[in-house]
This record gives sequence, structure tokens and C-alpha cells, in this order.
Amino acid sequence: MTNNGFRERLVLFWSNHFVIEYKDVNQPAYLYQYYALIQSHALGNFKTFVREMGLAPAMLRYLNGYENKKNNPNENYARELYELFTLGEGNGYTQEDITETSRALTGYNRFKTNMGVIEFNENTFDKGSKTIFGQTGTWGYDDLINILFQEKEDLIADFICTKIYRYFVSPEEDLSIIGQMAKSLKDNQFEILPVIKKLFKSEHFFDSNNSNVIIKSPIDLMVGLHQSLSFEYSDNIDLELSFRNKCSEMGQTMFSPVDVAGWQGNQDWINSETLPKRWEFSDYLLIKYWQKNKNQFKTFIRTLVGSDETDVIVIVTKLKDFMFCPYQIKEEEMTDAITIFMGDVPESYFEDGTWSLNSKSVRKQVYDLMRFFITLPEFQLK
Amino acid sequence: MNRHKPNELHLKSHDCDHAHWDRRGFLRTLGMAGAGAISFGNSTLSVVESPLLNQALSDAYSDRILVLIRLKGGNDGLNTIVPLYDFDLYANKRPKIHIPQNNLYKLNDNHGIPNFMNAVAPMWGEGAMKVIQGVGYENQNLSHFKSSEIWATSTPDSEISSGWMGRYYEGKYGDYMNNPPEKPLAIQIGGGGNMIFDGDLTTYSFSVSSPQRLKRVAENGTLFDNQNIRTNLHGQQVSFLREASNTTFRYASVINRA
Repeated sequence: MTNNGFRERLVLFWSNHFVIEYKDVNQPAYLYQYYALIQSHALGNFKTFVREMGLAPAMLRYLNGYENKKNNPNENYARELYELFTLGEGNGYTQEDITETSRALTGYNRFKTNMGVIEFNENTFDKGSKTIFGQTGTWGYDDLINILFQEKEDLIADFICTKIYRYFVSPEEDLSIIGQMAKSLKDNQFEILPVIKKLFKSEHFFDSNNSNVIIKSPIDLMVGLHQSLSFEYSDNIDLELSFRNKCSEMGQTMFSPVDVAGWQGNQDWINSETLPKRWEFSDYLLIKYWQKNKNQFKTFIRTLVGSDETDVIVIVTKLKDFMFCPYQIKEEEMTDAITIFMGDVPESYFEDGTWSLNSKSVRKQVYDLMRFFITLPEFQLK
Repeated sequence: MNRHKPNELHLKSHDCDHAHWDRRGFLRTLGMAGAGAISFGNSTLSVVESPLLNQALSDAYSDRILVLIRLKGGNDGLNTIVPLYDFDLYANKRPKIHIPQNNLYKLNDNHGIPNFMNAVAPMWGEGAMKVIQGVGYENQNLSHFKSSEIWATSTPDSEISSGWMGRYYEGKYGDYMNNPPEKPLAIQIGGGGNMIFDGDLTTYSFSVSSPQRLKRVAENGTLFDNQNIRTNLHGQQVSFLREASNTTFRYASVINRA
């Protein structure tokens, strides 16, 4: 599994922004190029990113740019460029703009070999005059990108910062913070890194009102649990394949969002089909860890709470904090958690010092407690 | 062309969710659902529906139910079933804590019980009570946990991690995963679920951490209390998830009856 967590997190974010569906693209080389493009621009310049993405063969395939010709224009990409990638639905463009834009986008139709490189073809490019956002000229691809970022700078910055904010901070938008992010993006000529840096260093980001307010995506759920524990798992499974399949069953097939608008996330992840799967698959991971190495549960808790700790409530609370952030869970469930952790150990053992984090039973106690915690509704939040 | 294809994940209607489920799939996935406080040992979802639970309980007179009471902790067997046949040796080994003879109720010439256990005497008289003595294993290492484990697995072989009830059910309900019985095979109350009911493939019991939990599940079919949740965004999300969990369990019972 990847060690470059944050970059891959951004790849996930951007692949749900510049959406393609791998089955529709149906070309491994195109998909590789698409992935590499996202990786290298994830923290780069958003304007460059948009420019490159429109020429990526995967995108030309997926949104029909390869069919967009002078005599037979296809508006798909022009529409999504504005509606989904830069401005937002109905925000600052007209149908006329889309029609004219699609003409400026023509020409990327020449395949040297079948499903090979897609090159620009002068003959299928519409050389005529177009009027886009009030500017008239014989615009081509680069002109169009320049006009878009010149004329709609504010709208683009707001749109993309809102999306970043909702993804990383909270589904409840804070307009003042988003405004500051947008200003930073514009001040830095659409460089993404300074905005992200600023956001992640802000007090607002660490405000407890903004923690644990987003419902985990299936990938958050699985990868999050796996990365946070860093446990060994049984050799008889291909973990990455298993993650892909299970996330798919929970509604998140990598590089295949539900539609071109991407996964809407949050409460959309939860229904009576996906929720039990979330319980089952989190449990599945714990079982695989248990099968591989039972002692790692003991080692883990000793490291987490200190090997001398003997106060059951302290131990259970610290594991809860680790798995849920320092949020309260219901008293009733805290009581259950303590009961489960105490397990088969006679109560007197806790009082007379017979029991400690060195006891043989500890590994099973921790395992059982984790299996309980993953079933609590709060575990679905991050 | 590619625009905004409709997808089932966007249909929030619960009717739609429901339609996706076949009973088997649901039971399979829900089976392990709350491995801690609430674990559904695959078949056992019907217990969510209170009439079914009530029915299961009222069936107790026709379909006999085995009640296992497992006392946690150590117990002095010789102070429970006192050896009258060699009382002096017993009293000698327990100079301070042995039960004096005048505090004993005689079960027979050879065995007595402390007076405070009188309540079981009539059962003994009717032949409804049995005692197994001298239970242990060779080279015992005095670990409480080792003993508990053997008690559950019924074998000193520590490689075996299935319980004796679990293995019994596994043999009796070979197709359990695909075709679970209508009623829960077993209900465990208290603790996180004992390995007695663990098979190699699954756990064969529905377990709840406390009688109060069982009561709530039986009375209104909800797993999670959704009262008094904070009203901030975190609270709203928690509330949404609790409701979704409860709804999911309610469906489980409906599907199980279908």
C-alpha cells in the first residue's frame, strides 16, 4: 500500500473532480496517462491542470472530444468543463458560450494508431471566429483556457475552493474561510499548494466543531482503519485487490464514479445496503489481523496507553479516542465497551492487580473492543 | 452521452434499497454486524422483530431451550460440593475457609453443599441436578484463561478456536450461511460473546451485552438510542447514522419474514 498518503488522497479527490469512468475509456495506456497527470498536478497549478486534462486521451475519449469536429461539433466536454470542472452548474456561462467553446475545442481527433496518441488535426479544427464570454476571435484550445481564467477568475476560485473545503473540512460551507482560500488561489496565480497549506495550518481546520463531521467514503473507511493500525494481515489475501472489490461493493469503484459529476459523498454513502457491508468489511480487516498475529493487538494497546496502565476506563477511553477522535460516545455504549473489554477476566483481577496489560487475555480483549467500536454509528465519521 | 447516468446509489428511497436485497445476502452481510455488543450470528435477525422474539420465548414450553449459565471467575469446587467422605483432609487443606459440618446440607453420604445453597436441594432430590467432579487437564499451568478456553473449546488443544456449541451447530446446520434457520439458534446475554458459540465459519449466536440492550431490541427493534444527541453538525451526522443503522435492522427483520 502507498506510503505517499497525502498525494494519493489528492489523486482520489481530483479523480472525483475530473471524472472519467475507466470502462468507458477502455484503454490501459490512456488510464495510466490520466493517473500520472493527476498525480503530477495534484498540488500544482489549477489552470495548467485544466489545460492538460482537456487534452488527456482518457478525457478526450470519455467526454467525446475525439469526436468533436468542425463539421460535427460535440458539446459534451465544453459543457462539463464549465458545469463540473471550473464554474459550477449554470454559473456564469450560457448555452451560446458552450456552443462557441465546443468549436474552439475541435481538432483533437487524429489517431496515429487505433487507440493510440490523439493528435491535433488542422483539418477538423474549426478556424472560424467564435465569441466566448464576450471575447471574439478565431480562438483555439489555449486561447479558450486563457479566456476562461481571465474572465471567470473569481467564479473558478470560489467554485474550486468550495469543493476543496467540503472535501477536507466540512459539508457545511464557511463562506468567510472559502473567500480567504479563493483569494489566496488568485493571489498565487491558481497554484494549489499555497491554498492547501494555508487551510491545513489554519485554526479553523483544527476547530473541534469541524472534526468528525464528514461521513467516510468506503476508501476512507478501509484504508483509514488499515493505515491507522498498521497491523500485519494474513498472507492468504491480496489486500489491494480485496480493498478494491470491497470498496466497489460499498459503492466506490476506483476510477469509476457513479457519473461524470462524481460521487457526492457524505450521506450518499449510507443506505441499508452499504451500511451492513461497512460493518462487515471493517470487521473482515480486524479478523485478518487477528488471524495473522494475535499479539499485535497487545503490542498496540501497550504502545497506545503505556504498558503500566491498569485503569480499564482509561484504556477503553484512549482506544475510543484513537478510533473516534476525542468525541464523546453515548454513556450506554461506553458501558458496553468497558464490559466487552473486561471480557472473561474475573472482576477481582482488575482490583487486586492480577490483571495488567501483560496478561495473556489482553490481545483478545483489545480485539473484541475494536470489533465493537467499528460497529458504532460514530465510526462512520471522520 | 455520458451525462449524469442514473445510478442506484443516487436513489435514496429506502424502497429501492430494499429491492436490492435478497434475504441470503442480507443475512450474510448483516450476520457479523455488531461483533461486540450486538452480534447477529447470521441467522438470528428475526430476533429484532419483537413478536418473533416473544414467540421464541413462548415456544420454550414446546421446543425445549437449553439455558447455560456461565459464572465468570474462579470457584472453589471443594467448597461448593464438599467431600464428606474425607472431611478431615478437606478441612485440613482449608484450615480457615472450609465450611463447617454443621453448615452443610447433605446431598448424600459422600457429598454436602453449604447451607446457603439449600435452594438447589429440591432439584437434587428430583434428580434434576448433576455434578461433575474432578474436571481439569494434565500439567495444568493454573492460568484462569487457559481453563476458560478449554471450558469453551472442550479441548486442551489450543490450536482449536471453535467452541463446543459452535461445532455442534456447524454439524447440525451445514448450510447455515446460505440457509439459516428461522429463529436464532442461541442468544447470549452479557459480555462480548463467548467462544462457546464460535464455529470455524461463523458465530452461531445473537449476543447482546446486557439484558437492557436485549429489551430495547425486543421492544422496539432499535439498536441505537437516538435521543439527546447534540445539535451541531457532528450531532446531526451521528443522528443520521444511528437512524440509518436502526432502519437497516428493521429491514433485516422484514426481509427475514419474507
